[in-house]
Amino acid sequence: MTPYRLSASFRDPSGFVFRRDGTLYRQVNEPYAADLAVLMDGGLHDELVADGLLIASERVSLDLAPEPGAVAVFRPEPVPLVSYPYEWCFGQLKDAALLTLEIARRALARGLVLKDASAYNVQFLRGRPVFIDSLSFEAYREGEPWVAYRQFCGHFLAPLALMAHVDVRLGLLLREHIDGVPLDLAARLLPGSTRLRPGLLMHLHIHGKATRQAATESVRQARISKTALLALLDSLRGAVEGLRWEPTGTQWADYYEATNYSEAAMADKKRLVGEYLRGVGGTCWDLGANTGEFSRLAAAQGFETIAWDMDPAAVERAYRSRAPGVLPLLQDFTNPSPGLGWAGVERDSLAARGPADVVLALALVHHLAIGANVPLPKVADYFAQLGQRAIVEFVPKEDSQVRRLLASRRDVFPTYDRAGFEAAFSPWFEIEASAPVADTARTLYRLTRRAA
Amino acid sequence: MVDLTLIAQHTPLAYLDGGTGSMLLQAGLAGLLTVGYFMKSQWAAVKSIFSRK
Repeated sequence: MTPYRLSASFRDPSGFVFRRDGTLYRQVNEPYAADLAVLMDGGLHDELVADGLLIASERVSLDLAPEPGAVAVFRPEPVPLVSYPYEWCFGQLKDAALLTLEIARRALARGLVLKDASAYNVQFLRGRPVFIDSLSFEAYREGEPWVAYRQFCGHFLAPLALMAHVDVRLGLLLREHIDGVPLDLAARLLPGSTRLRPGLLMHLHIHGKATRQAATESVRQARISKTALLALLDSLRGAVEGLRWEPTGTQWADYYEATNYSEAAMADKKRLVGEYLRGVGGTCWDLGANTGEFSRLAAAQGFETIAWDMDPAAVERAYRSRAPGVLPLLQDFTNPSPGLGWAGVERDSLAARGPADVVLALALVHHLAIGANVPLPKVADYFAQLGQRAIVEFVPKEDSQVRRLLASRRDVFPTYDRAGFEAAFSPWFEIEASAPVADTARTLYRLTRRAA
Repeated sequence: MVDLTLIAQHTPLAYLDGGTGSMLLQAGLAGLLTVGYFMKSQWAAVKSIFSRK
């Protein structure tokens, strides 16, 4: 199979990331040769990898390079799922910001500087943020200002400040502004009281006004000492540290306290899900995972699990719980991450990053079919794009949660019942097993996608 | 006639467009930030002297 560049890897003449026979590699080009030497021989690379801050990379044969001009080829440790900053909860974005600043600080100590501070340089591995762009380092030239300052503020400081001081949902602005929230926009949205915070005053309010400055020749004379650079990084660190958000008060924040499950029902559901997961391995996408109760179950059975939920507080709590094998991420399945960026493919849509080996859709389908008026066949079609197998919980109209959904509206769902569910899903999935969940009117299904 | 002195002083083009305003702001804040940073490190040094006692 012909090797191909990843769709997002085209801006940097220093090198690019490509896939060959299913494995991910990085080609390093001639222009980066000198900086690569400083990075590797100077010890920064090994130090950052050892401390879990930078993705581990193994040097491999130059013969694997698909394009001319290579000076080295590396095989980085793969990340189970690529996620994007607009899919991260507050805590994840904050940790990614602090990671970037820490790396910038350590790089300076070894005569290197981060040439960009994009949030897309960070991915999550084993529950922690890790820097993945080994080509982001370049030799520090005494006196040069930090070129990535504005990008750092737009990708990290601005959205974090908006989430902490205005509304946590503003993190989604990153989906629209894929090179960072414009600083003047952030400054305009932030409450005036944030001007009393020196970090936000300098790096967002004043910075926002400064970005409107047109290009002039005098910028060539802009000089700042190494100490001033360290001071800038430290100031940014303080500004980020000072931003806090507690996961309460959103619609789904206290879901598990408010469900209609008896203890017996919950226990039976867990038993059934565990049983239906058996015999399969690989990746599991828990759709509408909330705080990850069932994601942890899947992870305990060896699945590399993504706990998707649309509620920022649920994702935040799941992230803070640091459950091994579970990556919590923000996602609204009625409006999932689209392809974005250049030509609409630079950042992959949700479906492009799948399919998962198994999809969990527990206590979800009624929100799609009734809450969002999506006909069950369309739900089945989309699930078939997301997973090879699915474990789906059908919640009928007798259930109090569905009654609540229908309380203030007309019941326009004549086929929403078990027979209708099975008829809707059968064209896409084979129903391997089903069982009622004890103490409830719900049914759990084990489904396998039919061959295309 | 090409001005060779300008070429000699020209720093390599950065990978990223850092933005004129951002570069100037950094230069403008440099002094203030350095003083603050220096004072913080002095205060930390003072504190560590007393904590050892």
